Amino acid sequence: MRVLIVEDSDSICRMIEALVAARGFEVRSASTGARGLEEAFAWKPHVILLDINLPGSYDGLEVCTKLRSDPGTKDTPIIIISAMNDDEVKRQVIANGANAFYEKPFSPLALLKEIEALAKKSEAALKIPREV
Amino acid sequence: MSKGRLTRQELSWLLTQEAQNAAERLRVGVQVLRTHAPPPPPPDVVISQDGGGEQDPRHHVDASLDALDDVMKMLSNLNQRQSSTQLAAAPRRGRIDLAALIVEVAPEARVSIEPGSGTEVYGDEADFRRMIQVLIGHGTGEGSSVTVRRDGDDVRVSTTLGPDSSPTAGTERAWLSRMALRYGGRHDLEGGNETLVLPAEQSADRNERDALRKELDEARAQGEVYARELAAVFDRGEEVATVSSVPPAPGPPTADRFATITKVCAGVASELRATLGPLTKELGSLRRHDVTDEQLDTLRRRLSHAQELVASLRSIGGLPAQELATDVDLVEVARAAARDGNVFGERNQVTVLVKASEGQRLYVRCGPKAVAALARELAAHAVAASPRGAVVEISVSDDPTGPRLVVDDAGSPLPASGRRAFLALETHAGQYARPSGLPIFMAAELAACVGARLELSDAPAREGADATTGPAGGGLRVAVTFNKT
Repeated sequence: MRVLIVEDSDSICRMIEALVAARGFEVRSASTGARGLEEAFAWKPHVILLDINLPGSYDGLEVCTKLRSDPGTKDTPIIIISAMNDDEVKRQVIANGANAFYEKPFSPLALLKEIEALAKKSEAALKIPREV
Repeated sequence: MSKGRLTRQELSWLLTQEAQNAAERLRVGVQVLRTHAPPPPPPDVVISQDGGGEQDPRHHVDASLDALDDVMKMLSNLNQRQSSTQLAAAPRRGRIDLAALIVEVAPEARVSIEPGSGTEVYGDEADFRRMIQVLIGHGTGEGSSVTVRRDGDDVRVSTTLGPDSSPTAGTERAWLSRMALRYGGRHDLEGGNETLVLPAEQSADRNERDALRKELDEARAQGEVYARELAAVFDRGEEVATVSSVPPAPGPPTADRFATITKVCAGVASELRATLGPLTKELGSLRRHDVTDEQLDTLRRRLSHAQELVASLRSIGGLPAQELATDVDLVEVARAAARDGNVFGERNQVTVLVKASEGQRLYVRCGPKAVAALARELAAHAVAASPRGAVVEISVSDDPTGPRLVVDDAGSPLPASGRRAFLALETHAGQYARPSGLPIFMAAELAACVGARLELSDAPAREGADATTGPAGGGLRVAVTFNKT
């Protein structure tokens, strides 16, 4: 299963990569919203982990909206990971189509469980063949 | 590259950004119009398109906006690639002194450098060079005046505007504004001056430091959570390993067998207790009938023997049928068995010794109560079999076949031909001048239950053996070999 991480903090990104890759998932990462969108449209991940504070033209919320408006990614589960933890942000995140919100620092095992559950659903729903 | 004018690539970048903004605004505008628009006309008044098919005009608007988005996306990607190519070819990225760059770019310009704490900025030299070229191009022409100065956290580069004759000046200012924004600064047009305000290098440093510190804090906090959960996983992992490696008895048949043994032992113990209990009273009455002390001693010895047997059976009868396996130190088991054996042996002056070096440890994985009972039974049998004053040896060794517990008694040897029957309790042990084989039978059953193998052989001849320590040829050796852990 494919997992895309869109996160500008290199260290957090590597931690998540290690966590997810150890579970046997294929992982790619992007450090900006634009790169994240490109990867999402081209690679078609089963789950997307998305930070809110991203440098560049698109922040996490905009990325989320754009992913939801594209037919290829409208059903892809999106897990938001952010240090911003006020209720308004969470409400906005869910309104923009995210499936889950994890506040930094997050529990790796809880996140892993969430990813596995969403990835299974996503795989069953999408049935996208892996690229050879 | 033209000195003052924008290149085709720079224009393309700027126009794409402008078009993207326009497209966004258009989409927002359409959304607003829709929310205020009257409801769509009924199907019969929908305008027919050429060739028939009734279509909602809103679909055309959506399709056009989507197409526009696609084009913008393509253009944006194109420019991203171009700018990354440019970056790769950029001569220098890092701390750039704008004052020095201005002197280099426009040697003919009158450059006034106001005193301050530095005019260095951080970024691509090529970008700053172009920005200065374009800015100076807007000046009063040849010999234009440029001022560069430090203003707090910013470096300001300004020029006095000349006659605005260039048709592309507006576009160039838009480009300058975008470039300044890209570097976290701004572009001002005020009065007769055009100014570029860029964050000073130290300030950029500070921002970067702040960003890095924030990232470090986040990473540290996240790392701590990782470490805590990892530790918890390890803890749980140990518990899981203990539980998963539990099965001391492989499969139900062995467990059933063990349960049968414990039931048998408990039953025998109960029976013997019932039979021997009244004997104490009987002994009292016998004494009143002038029974000799010798007869009484014999009776007492028998009684003690029976009580020991009862105790032994009771202890086995009380063993848990499905004991959890743990790491058991065989040396410690041997020492405990020797202690018990010496209690039994005191009466006959038989000594039980353990042959093990100080600090020696040899672990086997099995039920601790079962293996303790096994060793105790072997020691008890060896004591009973050995003559007065003899020595029973218990040794522990790590053999290639597995850890071994060996008990050598000093009793009468048991011929190889009679061992199987002896072990199966099919023969009367007295014919070999040995005590009952019941303890060895129980030890063999216990060994089978913990996955070990019990073997009988001749005890080796002992150096310095004499009449008091037993026959030099040795008695019976009982060896129990455990599975390797």
